[in-house]
Amino acid sequence: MMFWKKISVLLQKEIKHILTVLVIISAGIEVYVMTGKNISTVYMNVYIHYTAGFLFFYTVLYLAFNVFTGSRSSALAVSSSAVMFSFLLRNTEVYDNANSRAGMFPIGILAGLVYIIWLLVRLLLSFRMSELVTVLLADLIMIIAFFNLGYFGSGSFTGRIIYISLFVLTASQINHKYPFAYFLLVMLFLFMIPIRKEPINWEPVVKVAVGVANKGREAARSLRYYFSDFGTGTAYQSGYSSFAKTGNSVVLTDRTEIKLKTKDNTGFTFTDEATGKRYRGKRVVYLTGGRAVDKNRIFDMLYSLYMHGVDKTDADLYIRNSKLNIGYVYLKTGDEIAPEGAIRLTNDNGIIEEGRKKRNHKKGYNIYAEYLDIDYGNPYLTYIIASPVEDADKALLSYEDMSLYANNILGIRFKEYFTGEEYLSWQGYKGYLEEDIDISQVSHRMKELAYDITKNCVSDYDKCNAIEAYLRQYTYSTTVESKVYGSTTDSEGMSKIADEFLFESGKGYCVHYACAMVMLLRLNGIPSRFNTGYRYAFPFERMEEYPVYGHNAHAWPSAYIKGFGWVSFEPTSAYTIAKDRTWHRQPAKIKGEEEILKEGEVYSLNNGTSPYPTPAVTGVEEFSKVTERNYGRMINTFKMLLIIGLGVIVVVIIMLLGPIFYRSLRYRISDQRGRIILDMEDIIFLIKGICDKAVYDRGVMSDYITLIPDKYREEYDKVYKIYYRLKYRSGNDMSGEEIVSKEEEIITRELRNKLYKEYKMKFLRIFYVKFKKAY
Amino acid sequence: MMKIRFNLTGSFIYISVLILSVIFASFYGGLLPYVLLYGNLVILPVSFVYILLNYKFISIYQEIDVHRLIKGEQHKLLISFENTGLFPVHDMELILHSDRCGFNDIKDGDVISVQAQEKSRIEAGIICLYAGTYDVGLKGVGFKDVFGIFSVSFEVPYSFRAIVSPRITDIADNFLDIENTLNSIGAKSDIKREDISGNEMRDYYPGDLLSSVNWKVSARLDKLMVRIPDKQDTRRITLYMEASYINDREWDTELIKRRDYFLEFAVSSAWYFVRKGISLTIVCPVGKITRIQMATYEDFLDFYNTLSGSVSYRSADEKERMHKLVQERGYGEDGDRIIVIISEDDVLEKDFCVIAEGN
Repeated sequence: MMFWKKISVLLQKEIKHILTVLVIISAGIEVYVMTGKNISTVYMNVYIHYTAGFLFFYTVLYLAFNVFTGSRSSALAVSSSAVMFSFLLRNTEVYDNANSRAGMFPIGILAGLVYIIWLLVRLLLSFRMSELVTVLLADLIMIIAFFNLGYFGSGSFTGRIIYISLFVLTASQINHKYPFAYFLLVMLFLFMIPIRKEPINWEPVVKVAVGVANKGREAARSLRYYFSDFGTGTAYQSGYSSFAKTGNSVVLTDRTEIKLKTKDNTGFTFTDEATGKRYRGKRVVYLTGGRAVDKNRIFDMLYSLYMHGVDKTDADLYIRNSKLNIGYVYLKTGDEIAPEGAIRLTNDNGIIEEGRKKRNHKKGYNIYAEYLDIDYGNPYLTYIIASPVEDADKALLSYEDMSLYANNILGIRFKEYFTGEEYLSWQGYKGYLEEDIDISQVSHRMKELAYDITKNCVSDYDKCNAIEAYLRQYTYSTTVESKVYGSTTDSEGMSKIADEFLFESGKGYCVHYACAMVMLLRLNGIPSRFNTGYRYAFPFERMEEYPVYGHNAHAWPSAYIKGFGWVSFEPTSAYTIAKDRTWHRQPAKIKGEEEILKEGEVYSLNNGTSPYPTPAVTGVEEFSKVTERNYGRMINTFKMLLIIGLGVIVVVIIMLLGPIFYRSLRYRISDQRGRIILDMEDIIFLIKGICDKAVYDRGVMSDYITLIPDKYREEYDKVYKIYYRLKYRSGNDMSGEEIVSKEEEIITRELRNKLYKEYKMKFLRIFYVKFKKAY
Repeated sequence: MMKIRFNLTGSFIYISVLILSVIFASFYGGLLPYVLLYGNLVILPVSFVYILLNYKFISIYQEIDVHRLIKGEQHKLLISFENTGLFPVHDMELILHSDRCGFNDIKDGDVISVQAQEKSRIEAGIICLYAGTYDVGLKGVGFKDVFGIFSVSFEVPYSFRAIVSPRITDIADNFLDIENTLNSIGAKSDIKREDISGNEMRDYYPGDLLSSVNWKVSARLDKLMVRIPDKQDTRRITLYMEASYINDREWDTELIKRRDYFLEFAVSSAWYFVRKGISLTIVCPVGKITRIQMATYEDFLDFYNTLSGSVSYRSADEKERMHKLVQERGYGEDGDRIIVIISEDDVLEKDFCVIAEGN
């Protein structure tokens, strides 16, 4: 006990002394450096390490001697060691190096001067004041040195020791009576924390804060979403839903309505033939609601391609088989929202057949879509659209042949997606409904306009393009004061909206453009439809999810081109037309031939043997890569879990066995007094464990006589009196042997061992009984 | 139990310094700003850890020179501290049970420091203010952090449980003036007694009652002899002590005060009857319900010594039994007695002491 007491009390003082000296020397060096003197970096590090090490070594020796002898004798003994040590130092490289030798002398003088000044300060002032002044002076010097690029502020290990020591010494001066041991603990923690050369980087914090704020906003939206049906009695208003009642201004929000997930490329790159520069383009997808899979449209297109002799190579220029996951967020509608050209739609319950459900889908509803992404701007396709094979007999192409053809050019399992009955039904279907050519309530002036726009056009496709181009001249605006009430669900409504847009307001948004084009197309004898949904342009950067907002809601027309089928157009001037967002895919140049595409000219492909290149990346290929990545990720996750699991097991073992080892170690290094006290603590613990009733521990040992089993009562009576005698006999310097005999120590230990056996037996019995009951 | 309290001024200064160091480190990197910042951040948790270590390794033992104390008398209190850890304990605040004890030589809030592996003792005078069985002396210890930002207090693991005997006073006298209460004339008499036949003899005087003549003795002595009558108490008294049923650990100062008054009243009542020579039966809970006969001074001393430490119920059922006895008010063996009921639950209320005829 005395040994530990000496160590703890004296060591604190000595360490404080060492740190103070270290800080003073360092401050001196900084002053030296700031005066412009040049000192070798290597040398200074070595010097500091040797100094600190020397001081520490001196202290340890002094303490060790002081335990066994008086302080004067120990000082003398240690001083001789210090002299020997300095001779040893002479033989190191530091002395051998001429430069170092030259540098050591001024440093040595400096250190001596600093030390003398310090001694004088201590003589003149009281001990307390001298300490305070010393530390404050050192603080001032080191702060100035830091801002003047002093040596130690750079972040070296030595500098770390010095600055941490300075902090601890300064803090200890604020409350100089507080035990220095506390400050040593602080010092220990400070050494463990990494220190950066750069200032605090607040970016991650800001990101987290923004993330939290966004989450809060989403939570508020969710709340509004779930309670939106109360009070007003209306369905949750969104950009998409509001298209049913239009004509007036529409408020399109930035609320997320659906979320898209896809593994496909979200953009494309191409080389501009004219300039030779590489460009990037964004993929655009049109999502329509209420139609599900328009199988007749698919059959029409495939038939047209077949009739034009399109093979896979040709088809790959403008058709891509894609997958998309559509997740409903803040959108309450019964419509199935799917991409145009969908060939298969499924949800968690299976295949989706109908385009609309009676009950609204709620947040979290998911649709998995497989669809044909078609580049309607590709000149090879537009050629086909513009030159339909009219009056062809659909019955000539059987279901089997169509299946084979579709499998070949699109890579889809045609028979899995489309049944023979559906195909047969298409063969007898003219392609459009009566309502698609309904022009009731159309004004005379609109009829005239329809004729004027297309009078010079030859084909239906040309007419469509002409009307689209004409309408794109109108001003786009979402703030429209409509004097008519029109609905986009019937011809009459659309006529009113279109009429006002074309001849009165002259401005509108997508609904107006679409209504106008639909009516103008119908007036030209071209069946057309009004489509509502979303128009979404994917960003360039790949994301986990692509949110589609209220302001992405859109309306657009489709026209039925005889010999090809339904084709969508974009008359709204705020958005690009198909031609402007083409993928620019072209066949590879055939050896010896040059094809130059000029505006207005198209290149016609037939079934040739030229090795046309296929697109480099397809959705299937990407999916494979993703699978490999996932597999690698799984391995890493497993490794991580294994390490974490092992770590947890190790921690648990340490926690369980640690106290046992610790106690064992304590027992070994304790003197007799310590051992008896430890045994007594164990005895109390074991009695509590053996006793069946709850024990209130008053700290009075005699209470346990009634609790201990009868056979140990007499022994315990002796033992606790031994314990009391040992613990409370006066005389702090008395070790155990003077109060308690060896035999009494043995008695205590034996009782402890007996109780331990009893304790183990009890728990083995309990375990055995429980085990028997269970099995 | 641990309580943490924050000092407003200290906390304000600390937070200000912390904010300044954060600002400093936001503009400058390197040793000085980060050492300042981390140092400020680390100070509080390390203080807390240091305090916990201090508390873990300090052993406190307290004792009083006598086993049984007397209310209002000074006794010697000895508190020993032993620091078995490696870290010194600095300015540990003493939290005393000053609501129920008075102290000489120490006071609430005094501080003591104990170096590592060192012992220290405090000797002081203690005066217990109330009768009963309760914790006295040192209640807890408090520690402050290095800069006085917060303080943590802990209850001492082992308190000293004192058994304090009440003083013998006359607070019950006014309540128990039974003769005045029951005597319809209103005149006060010390003793109301009736004559019963005794064993002493004397010569017959004219006028003595014929019934007092002891004929056998008269025949033997050949002269008329009469018996000298003894005195017998006309009334037998039973005192019911209906104590409250409270778990040992729930005692607070208010309950202690109540118990103090209750015990003092009970002792005063017993003393009242004993000094008048009236025999008394006391029904009180001493673990279980016990009837104590008291006729002499020695009986009273026994009762007095038992009283302070032992008044308690061993279970809630005993309390119910006591209450039922009080309700029945002397059916059976207490039928012809005067019943005095003191009810601890009603201390200082009108119904605290009820005197009634037995049923």
